[in-house]
Amino acid sequence: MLTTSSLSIGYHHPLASGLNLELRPAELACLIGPNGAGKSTLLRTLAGMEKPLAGEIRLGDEILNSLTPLELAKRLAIVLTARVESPLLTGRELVSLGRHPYTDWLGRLSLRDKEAVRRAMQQTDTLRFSARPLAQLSDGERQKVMIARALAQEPKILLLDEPTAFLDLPRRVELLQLLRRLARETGTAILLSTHDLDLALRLADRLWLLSSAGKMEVGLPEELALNGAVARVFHSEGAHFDHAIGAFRVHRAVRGPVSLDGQGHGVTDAWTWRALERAGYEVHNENSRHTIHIEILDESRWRLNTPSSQSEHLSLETLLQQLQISNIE
Amino acid sequence: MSRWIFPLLALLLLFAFAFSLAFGSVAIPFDQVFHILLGGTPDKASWADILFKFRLPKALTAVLVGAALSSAGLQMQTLFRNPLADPYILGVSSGASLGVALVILGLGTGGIAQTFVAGLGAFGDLTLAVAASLGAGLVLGAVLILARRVQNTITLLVTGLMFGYLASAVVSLLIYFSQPERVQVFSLWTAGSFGGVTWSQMRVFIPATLLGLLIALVMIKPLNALLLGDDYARSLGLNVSRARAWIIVSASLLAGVSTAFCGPIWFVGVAVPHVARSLLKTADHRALLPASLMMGAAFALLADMIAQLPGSQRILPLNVVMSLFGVPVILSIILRQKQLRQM
Repeated sequence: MLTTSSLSIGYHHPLASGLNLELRPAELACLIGPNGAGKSTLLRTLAGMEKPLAGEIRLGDEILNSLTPLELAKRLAIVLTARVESPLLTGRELVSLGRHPYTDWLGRLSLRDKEAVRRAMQQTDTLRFSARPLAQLSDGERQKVMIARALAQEPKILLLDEPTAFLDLPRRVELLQLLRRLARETGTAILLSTHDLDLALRLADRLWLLSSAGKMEVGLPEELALNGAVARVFHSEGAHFDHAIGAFRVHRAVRGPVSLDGQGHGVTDAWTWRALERAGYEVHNENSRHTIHIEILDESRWRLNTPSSQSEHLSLETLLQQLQISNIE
Repeated sequence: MSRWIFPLLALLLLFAFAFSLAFGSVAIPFDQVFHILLGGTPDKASWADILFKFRLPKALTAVLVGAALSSAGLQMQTLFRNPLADPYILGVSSGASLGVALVILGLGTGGIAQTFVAGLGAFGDLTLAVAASLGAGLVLGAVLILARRVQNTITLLVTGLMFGYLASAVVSLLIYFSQPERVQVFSLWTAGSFGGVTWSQMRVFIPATLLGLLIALVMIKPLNALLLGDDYARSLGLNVSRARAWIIVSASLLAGVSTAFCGPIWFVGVAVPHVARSLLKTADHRALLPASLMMGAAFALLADMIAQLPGSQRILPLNVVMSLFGVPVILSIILRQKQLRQM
């Protein structure tokens, strides 16, 4: 569908080069990488908005940069981070603008155009925003309308730059699920950039992992987590990617080791573990007993054993307070 | 509301036009106005003269200028995504003022200016219009060359403002060194008037304005795409720099021509598009452009009628009336909207 060969991106200096990428139909790919790695630049280059420094982008058999803007607009649509500042536009008017490449000189919608608009709004569940002005839509609703607008272009390829940026967690999950469903149902190849590694790992069909050094690794999310690629790309001073749990750990163990016995209390164990880590302790499980040892008695009762004392706590807060006192002693 | 707005506007425009033909220092009965227009002989011989020599060209000028400035203002507000943008924002009217100032104030200073003005004199009653057009065209050319090189719309906006300041500074300098009578003539020109356009000037004025409006009509679709911002417009297949150039040509032609023949007319261009948006509650230029055009024309006719102070021999400066009577009306319409920044 969309392929690149030896593609170099950037403005003057290459941010990444030698990119041989492939975006497949009906596939949801997530582009992730640290800030400044060039995710937006890559998306803009793939969308034909920036010229590649070297190499070639193909849409099927056609070379992207040889297409006229109008031809390109019928094949590829993009959702950008920039906010659309036209509060008077209604949902339907906004989505209708996606028909721009197909309409006559005055922008009048034909029956086919109207049908495409309706379908795009139905697929994104935005029909109920048809008559509502943009100013009255929440960020999440607005983003869905923007996606409907892109779909109204009837693109084979849909690119989205940080579509989840301003959304809360449930809205982010919902949006990514929507995009995955759209890819499956319409056969559109979808590529989106995101900072949400956790969601990308869970929902992407394929991960495009761009490092700050300009190296791209592509693969199944699980594969890239397992082989340590994710951990390498996101390595930093303050945090590391723990492939056992598939998430970041904030590591700053400055307060010495403690052991935690939480057998049979899975959830409480996990959150206690996190609280201790956040407070700066190096946490070990019950197999290695340290001088400071914590037992979970039930979901809201903890016993703290130190060489000098033993105490029971009814909240994590008092547990941590006591721990800090005994640690100073 | 929007179903009725166009018939209503058409009616308003028709009434305003008829009233501006009937009223003035001398009132002509409506039936006589129609009678004369249809080629009949009037009850009073002077009425035909008043109508054909003064009121008809004046009303026609008001319609054209109101329509021109409102649609130019609408285009500039969308292009720059700025509710304060007006037809003169790119410095076109400052260029026109400079041209006119050179003719009126530069006369008699000798040297090149005089030769230049003498050359212009060959155009007869078009002298001021030609000088203003040259000034406006010069600024337009500079802005267009710049627009091709500058990708950023805001840079263009700032540069337009700078051109404007530059032209104003030269005009101030000319005023400073001029005789008071000349300054008086020049300040009369800046007060604005629909009354100075003769039938022979109409032969230039009408086609030039219609051409500007025609380009604006073709730019409706690009303007709608530009509502999404330059990047989205580009992704929809729009050649943004070309569309921008045509929009600038249209707005500058409309603003330049009307300034050339009537002096700078303030207020209509910035206010009318807002009223159109408030009343129609849409951002779609397919509705906004015709609505602004008709409202602008009607507003210009009404303002001019008030300026004539019907029944009296005195005439108020047009720009004074525009602001004095227009501002309260338009403020009341816009302030009723919850969001002021509606584009």
